[in-house]
Amino acid sequence: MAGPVTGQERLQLFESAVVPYLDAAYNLARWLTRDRHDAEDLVQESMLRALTYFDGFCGTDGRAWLLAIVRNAFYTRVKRGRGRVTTVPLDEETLGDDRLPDTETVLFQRLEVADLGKAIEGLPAVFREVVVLREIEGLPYREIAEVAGIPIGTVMSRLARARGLLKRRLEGRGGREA
Amino acid sequence: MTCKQLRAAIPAYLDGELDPSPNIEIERHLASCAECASIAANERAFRAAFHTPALRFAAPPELAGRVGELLRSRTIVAPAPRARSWQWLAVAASLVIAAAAGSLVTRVALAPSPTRLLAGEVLSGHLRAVAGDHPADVVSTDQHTVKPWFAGKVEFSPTVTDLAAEGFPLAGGRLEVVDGRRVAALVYHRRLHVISLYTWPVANGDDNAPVATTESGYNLVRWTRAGMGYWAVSDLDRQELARFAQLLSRGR
Repeated sequence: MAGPVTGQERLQLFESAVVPYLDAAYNLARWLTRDRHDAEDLVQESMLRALTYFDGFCGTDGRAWLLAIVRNAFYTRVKRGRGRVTTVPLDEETLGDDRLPDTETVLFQRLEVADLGKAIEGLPAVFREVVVLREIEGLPYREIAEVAGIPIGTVMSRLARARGLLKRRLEGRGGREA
Repeated sequence: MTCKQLRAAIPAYLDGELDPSPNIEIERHLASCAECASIAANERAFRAAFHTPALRFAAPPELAGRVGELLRSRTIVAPAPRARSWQWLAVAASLVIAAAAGSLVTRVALAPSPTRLLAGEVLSGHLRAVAGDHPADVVSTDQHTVKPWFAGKVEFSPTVTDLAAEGFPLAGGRLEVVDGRRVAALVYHRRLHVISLYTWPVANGDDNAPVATTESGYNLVRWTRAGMGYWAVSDLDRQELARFAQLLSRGR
């Protein structure tokens, strides 16, 4: 498989607009695949896709554009059975009540990084990706919406659910209602 | 603002996604309501827990290197002025042959630069000539006209073989610069396709069988024979170009 005929100039543009986000791409790939080698493969595949479709890039936000490619490549792999994804049964059990507790407060000051990492890995992919993009990559809602191809309102509700699930796991309360 | 409203707004507030005016209201409320303030503080601590380098995976350095190689290999690079030895080509070619024996397709795609750079130069020369509608400086189907034309233009006498009987008629020749030196490019036709055959003397005298690669959708085949290195490049399909290479590499 070969890309289209490309020029030195195009490569330079690509190197300044997209390549700086290699770390961001790898971080997302790593959290999505939960495997170092799969993540490296996914990033290589995504960079090639990005180079191929670079002409369709309008030049505003290389980070969101590249991350969207990584994300799409990941879900394409999952569909082809080359990746694993936790299915999300969208029932009340899963969603539960993840509002902030009204009276009790659980303290997160002494949270262990390893526990937090495991809890993130345990989230279904659609929740994992928003949490990683927001809390670790520091993307604003608008960019998360762009990467995941969802409205900002959905970004907010998924984030709320993701955070709720994380807190419950970290509190060791399983699926118990708050 | 009620406590209920405030608690609903805390996530967006802490994410820095609220307009400035609600921020003032929230801050006023938090300053006066201990219960809400403690919820907000706890929520802030939860988010702070993510802010550690331990949770952000940086791309391994070798991945960055491979991606760089990959991008360059998919890009036609202008001829580099630096001189390079054919020795590299022989080494790279043997690597490719070894890799092709296994199923190391990715390794081949990621093969290191000297061969790739040469391939890029050879292909750009071919594309310039074809796009400029000027594939040959000397236009002739006669090998006895084409061969002497190179005398004094390059420091060697290229072997010029007419393959008209096999369906690859000679069309001429032109001068090219590859790897910082002047080389001979012979032009052949196959139906409506143009084939450029680059040739120049190699330091390593060993013969190498043809190795095919694809670069930006073009097929390239390279081999060495009798102290000369050859690169054939064309938009012709791979098998036909391989046949062309076989005819020449066997010698007639």
